[in-house]
Amino acid sequence: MVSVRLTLPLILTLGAALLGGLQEASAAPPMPADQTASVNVAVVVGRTFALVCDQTVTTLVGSPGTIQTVDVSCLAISNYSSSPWKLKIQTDQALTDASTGETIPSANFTYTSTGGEGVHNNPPGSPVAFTTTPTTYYTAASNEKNNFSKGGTRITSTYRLVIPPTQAAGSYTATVTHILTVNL
Amino acid sequence: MKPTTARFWMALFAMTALLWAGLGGQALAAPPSDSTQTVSVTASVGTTFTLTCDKSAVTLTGNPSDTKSDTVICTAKSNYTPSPWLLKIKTNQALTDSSISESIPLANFLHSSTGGSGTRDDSSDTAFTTSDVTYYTAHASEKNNLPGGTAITSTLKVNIPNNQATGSYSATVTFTMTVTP
Repeated sequence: MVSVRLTLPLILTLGAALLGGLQEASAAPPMPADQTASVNVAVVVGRTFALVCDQTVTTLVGSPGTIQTVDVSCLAISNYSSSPWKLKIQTDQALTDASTGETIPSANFTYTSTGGEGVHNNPPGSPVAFTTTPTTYYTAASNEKNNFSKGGTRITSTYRLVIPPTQAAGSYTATVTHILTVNL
Repeated sequence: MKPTTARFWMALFAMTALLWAGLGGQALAAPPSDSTQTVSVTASVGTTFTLTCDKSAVTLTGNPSDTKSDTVICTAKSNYTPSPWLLKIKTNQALTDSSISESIPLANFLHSSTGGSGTRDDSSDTAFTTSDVTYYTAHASEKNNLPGGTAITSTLKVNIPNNQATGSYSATVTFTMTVTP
């Protein structure tokens, strides 16, 4: 009786262990956890920021006391959307005939502008004289900040020269510069 | 017979009887039966289930209207055979430049893949989504593909819209290896 009391629990324990072992050996392996790998993707879209005018040289021919005009059309293309671009304009000097030293007063050489959907500082009817420092004449509308798909924004400037009645004959020159910028 | 002789024979008989009984009464009668002992051996083979990609970053540089792409090779290794493994893919967002709050539409951010002998769902350009989408299901023969694994080459492509603002657009693409459909 002593030996029965001692071995029965042992037999039960061994049996349970064997059964458990058999079950474990025959079960499917545990499902593996998902594995991931990440790739950071950066797309750098290049900048288009260009200004092209249809004329690089223009000539106004007139007599004293007449008014002469010419249109210069500039195409501004941008995909820089952080801030609106602007067009500025300046002249390097008053119209001057270097051979005689004569000039046409700056007040007689003016400009206005049209086109686009933004703001013109000098629309038709409000001409302003050229200056020798850059002056904003057009500020792009918000939907023109990125105008790449629209083929850009075309702004036409009209240069207007009032030749003084007493102006000496000569060839007067100056260089007008149009600037596309996002700076104030 | 002398009494002494009789005691001798009686003693000898008794000893022989005791020896016979001690040997179990059979040892001398038949060969012994086999004696067996079993040893249960269990070899537990661990699960290998890994996904490794050859790049962790990709930069695509282009201008509006350009199409740019690059490849990422991900190698899946598995010895889990109850079910085939799958590869899924997603992006956390559309390609976005947070500094200017601009993005490239998901429809323009594409993936396709090659390699392996399983079933492919992105054999042609497929737009990314922000939820996991299966793009490759391992062939039965690839369930256990040790030691080399299965290399799947994914092409990540972006069609830059013709009016896309200049900027640096980013997103994180996640490849997932799983046995869960």
